[in-house]
Amino acid sequence: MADKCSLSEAPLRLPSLGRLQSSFQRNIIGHSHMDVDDKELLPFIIENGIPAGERLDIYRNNSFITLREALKATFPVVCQLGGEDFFNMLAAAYIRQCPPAKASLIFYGDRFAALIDEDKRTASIPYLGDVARLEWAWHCCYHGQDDTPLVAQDMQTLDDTDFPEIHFKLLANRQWVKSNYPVLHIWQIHQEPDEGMEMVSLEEGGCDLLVMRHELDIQIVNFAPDAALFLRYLDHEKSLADATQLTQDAYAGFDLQSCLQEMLTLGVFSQFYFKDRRSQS
Amino acid sequence: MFASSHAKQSFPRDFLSQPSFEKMVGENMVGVSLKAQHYQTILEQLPPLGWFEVHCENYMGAGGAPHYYLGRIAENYPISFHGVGMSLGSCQRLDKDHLFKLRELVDRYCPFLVSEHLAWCGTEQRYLNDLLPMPYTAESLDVLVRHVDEMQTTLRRQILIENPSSYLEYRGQDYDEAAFLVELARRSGCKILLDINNIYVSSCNHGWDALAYLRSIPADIVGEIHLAGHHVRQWRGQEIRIDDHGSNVCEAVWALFENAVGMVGIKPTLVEWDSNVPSLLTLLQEAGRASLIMDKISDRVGCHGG
Repeated sequence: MADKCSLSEAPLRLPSLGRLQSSFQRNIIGHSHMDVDDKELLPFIIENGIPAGERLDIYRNNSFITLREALKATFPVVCQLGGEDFFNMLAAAYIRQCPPAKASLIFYGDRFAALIDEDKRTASIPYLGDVARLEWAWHCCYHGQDDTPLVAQDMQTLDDTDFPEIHFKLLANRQWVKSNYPVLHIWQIHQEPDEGMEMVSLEEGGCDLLVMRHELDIQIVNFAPDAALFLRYLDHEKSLADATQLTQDAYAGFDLQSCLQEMLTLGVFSQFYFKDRRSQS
Repeated sequence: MFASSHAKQSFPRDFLSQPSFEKMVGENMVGVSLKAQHYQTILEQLPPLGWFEVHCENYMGAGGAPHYYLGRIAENYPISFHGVGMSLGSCQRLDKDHLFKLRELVDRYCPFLVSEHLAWCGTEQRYLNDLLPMPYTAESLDVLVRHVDEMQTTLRRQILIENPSSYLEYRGQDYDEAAFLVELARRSGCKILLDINNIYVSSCNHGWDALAYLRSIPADIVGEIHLAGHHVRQWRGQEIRIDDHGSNVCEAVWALFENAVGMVGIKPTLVEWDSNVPSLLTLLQEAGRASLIMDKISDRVGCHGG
């Protein structure tokens, strides 16, 4: 027991609610539960056969387990790649460094990929952080705003002269993930973990992915570099003419016609508009 | 800083009267937790259940499957919202963003019940995703009355507050838990969500008398009953019961439920199941057992509604 409390067996006055809660919280997610400061609370907990510190351990345990399970549900492939124990270690580090700032756990995990990149223990799995990025993008898309894709027929009213100045809005819930590793392939083979072990060669190189959702169907599209660049320009509010020019400057063979057709078939846009006229579909 | 001991209602009492449960729920007063695993089966089979309860935090995203399914299920069943993250017992201010998100959800789905917990979940803009124990003091009561009042005013409706499971008790408290809850309900105008499993778990963990707890809760302030499973853990040779909503309701809790129904009457009753979620059939069986007990008691005493 803490020295302080053995000195005073006299009736204790509970600290203020604010002080009690701060001390309780330090016990749950503090840097170390052996912090001297953390012992402030202990004399105010009735032991009844179980030491006060161990009663707090039950709460710490509950809190860590539920947060860890929430992270595991959002990042199942990261867990498969690193193994359960390794994942639990990363999750515990994350919970200590970045405890939830919101009560809804839908929003919990946004910095997990960054923590994985920074953690030296993940050095042997260099693509792990990007896999986490892809899983977070998928998760955000799952919960993101509903949106309806633009289809070719929506553009029938346009004249040829309209096209250079046209702007496109991408689907509201789209997410971009760019990686130097073949993370889509890695992610795909872990969707059916019992299907046997297929190897992915890191030599396959990187990818530029757009994650989007039509109604309940989440799609991950791996674009060719020129198409990805073109789409990113459009996403940054460049007009069709400017985006085409900028893409052709980088990729001389860029084929606008077939690329635009592909985008409309995939349904990546939600609407078109003109900057000056503000008219839209 | 704290509200005076006679905090004013900042909204007319009319707001407190909700449409009657009987009207919304019909004959079947028993509901179960709505879990994502069961969305599809529920829509295909429309099982004979009175209602479903959701953790509203799981529906605070902008769109997608959760809203799609909840919307369709709400067309067929009454829905109850059960919050786990408002942190009403925190000495700090309520998270306005969270409260307004909840109001949007309430406006959208029109739940017949909205409930929260007698607990705090974190402080200093941190949420530990757990229901942490309150010291039952006059200061805590002021804080809770103020926060329940703010939540009811924002939602423009009455809420219910649930008794938690707990694994520790503080020294030097001013109230026992049941008296604290009753006083909170009296001062804030909220109702009580009586969780029978939590009463049992806390009573075993702290050596309380569960029946005495039930006796001190007036029937008319109970608006809902919860039933759930828990597990028993050995902690250095000592038994401690941990609430995890991950198994069948145990026999002792069924017996306590029977006592509770005899004391507080028939109330909308929920079978909660949140971890190791079983098939919908298992939930239906548990719900069926709750219904049988309620029928038995109402036949015996001829009591209907509370």
